Amino acid sequence: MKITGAQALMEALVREEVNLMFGYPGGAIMPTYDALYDYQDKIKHVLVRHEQGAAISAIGYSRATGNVGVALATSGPGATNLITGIADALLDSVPIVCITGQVAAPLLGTDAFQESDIVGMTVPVTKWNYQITDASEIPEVVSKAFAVARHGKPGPVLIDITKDAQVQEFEYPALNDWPVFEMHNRYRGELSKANLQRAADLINEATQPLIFVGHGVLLSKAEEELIALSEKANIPVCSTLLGLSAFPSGHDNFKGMLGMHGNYGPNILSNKADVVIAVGMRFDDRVTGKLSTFLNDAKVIHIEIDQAELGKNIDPAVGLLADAKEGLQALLPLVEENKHPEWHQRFTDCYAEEMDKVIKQEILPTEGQIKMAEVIHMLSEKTQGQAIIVSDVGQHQMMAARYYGFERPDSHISSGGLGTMGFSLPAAIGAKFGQPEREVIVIVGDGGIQMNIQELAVAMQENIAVKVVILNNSFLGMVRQWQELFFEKRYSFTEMDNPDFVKVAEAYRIKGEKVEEREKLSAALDAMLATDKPYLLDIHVEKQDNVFPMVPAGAGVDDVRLS
Amino acid sequence: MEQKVYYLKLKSENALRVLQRISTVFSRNRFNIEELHVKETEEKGVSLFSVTIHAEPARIDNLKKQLRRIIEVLEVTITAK
Repeated sequence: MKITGAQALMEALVREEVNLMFGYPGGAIMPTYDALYDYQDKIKHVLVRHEQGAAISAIGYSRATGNVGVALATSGPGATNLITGIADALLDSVPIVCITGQVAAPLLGTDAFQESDIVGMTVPVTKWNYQITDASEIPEVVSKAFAVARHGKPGPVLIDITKDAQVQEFEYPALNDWPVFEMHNRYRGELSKANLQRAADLINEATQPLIFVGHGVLLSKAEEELIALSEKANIPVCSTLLGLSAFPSGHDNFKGMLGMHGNYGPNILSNKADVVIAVGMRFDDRVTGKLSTFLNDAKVIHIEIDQAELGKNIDPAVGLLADAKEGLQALLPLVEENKHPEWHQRFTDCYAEEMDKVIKQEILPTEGQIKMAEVIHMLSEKTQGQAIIVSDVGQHQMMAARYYGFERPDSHISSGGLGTMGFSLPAAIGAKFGQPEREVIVIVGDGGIQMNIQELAVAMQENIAVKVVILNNSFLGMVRQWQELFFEKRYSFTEMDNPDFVKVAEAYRIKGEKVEEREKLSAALDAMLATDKPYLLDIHVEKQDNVFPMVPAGAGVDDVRLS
Repeated sequence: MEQKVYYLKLKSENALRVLQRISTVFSRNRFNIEELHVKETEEKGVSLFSVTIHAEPARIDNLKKQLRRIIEVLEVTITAK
């Protein structure tokens, strides 16, 4: 039987168990959209309003479910608009497959209408990409694309399909001849017993051990193993920004977040640890601060799936090339039960100091304007740490990370590596499609919401119940904070005159409320949480609030400032 | 730190874009390619890239690991002059 390339693409996606994609049609992808018309019962397509929204919604869907997210766009500007999302997925290890239309093969290289060399442009930001010019390549290339996206350290893949390949007919492979691509990892062997034992010996002999949790724990679904290790050897746990929600915030062993705006204890006590077990994280500069003064007294056990990360920033005493789950499972039986009460007490003391000097005033202010942290704290209490929080980039992102008490895995979705403003709304739409039963709440600034505000139309058209909380300070707050602290208060282009966001929402037939007074905050959050429709709160917060603690850029974690 | 001369041999699939993928790893790390030779080996479909660069010794291990991330690259060996 003969079928077209576009039909083969649909068949291939169904075989990869794709039942949802985010996209935007245009000339060079029209044959694929035409084939999709007949596959609507198997694959739901969500029409975004900007292709960046498609890529980021695919990311949000993937991060909420663990499945591969799929985005579809046309050639030229459609394809180039995906790039920010693709770069985001690369830095945050999110498996997505982007499919773009391309001008017909005979026109390649001729500067044809809406021709752009998207494969060339995305080489540095994809794990793999490929241009299909012959329909018969589609089954194997799609299989390979999904395998590469999922395999090892996950990441983005792009497939570019010329228009003529989409309409070309070819002999359809019989069911059992359908090619299935399998990845072979050339750089991973068995975890050596000697290495595991060395790691276990270090942990067993440690008096001040510390666990660093990264995104890899969520990606490999190693949450239970992590809790088991932490409880068995009584080891305090600190999280990177992307590791948040892998370990329950309410657990006695959870000590908070690492890094630039992390908690005081995790920063200052990292350099007191004698053994650090780093699980599925990559020692990003926002975590380490000045590298030459980081963990100088600790032996590091690094469990990491990507060989290129071992030894990149920190030389581990033991590197275990494995995904977090495999690594922890292998290590766990070798680790002895232990207690470290004095070590835990030091974190308790640090937290008490942070509470006194920072947190108390942030989450329970009694006068002045509403503070970002008190909104997050109240939201955390009202949702009992069970919601999916999708934050944008900036001060509100750090406040959400610091003050929401995550109790369930895959509940903190934010752009960590790339720091993509405009991420939260489309990511939340993707997350809500993936987890329709869960409460999905956007935490965004007045700057970030305006970078992808058009995606409100998607929430409207699909009646997808994302709740949008704008923490509105009429400033690009994080940049303003840096200007205040490091640029002599020269506020260069950070103040914003904003539209009435509630009226904007209303134009999209989305209900909302503006909140300016503390007395009205609780009821407004209740009203938002009570609805099963999209909803927007425009909460006006203190204009010149700062996020502390803070490790200034280039300083060591010992230099963390509380004010 | 003092730079040394390094010779790299990369075996890869003989395919479009592989040269770009490899060169991107060099350029984003700001290694200039001093010499480059590419040819299909006796094994059909497998190319051999021979590359000469100047680099600080401390950066070579990471460069090798980044090159090994490329899906089409099958083997990387690096020798110092």
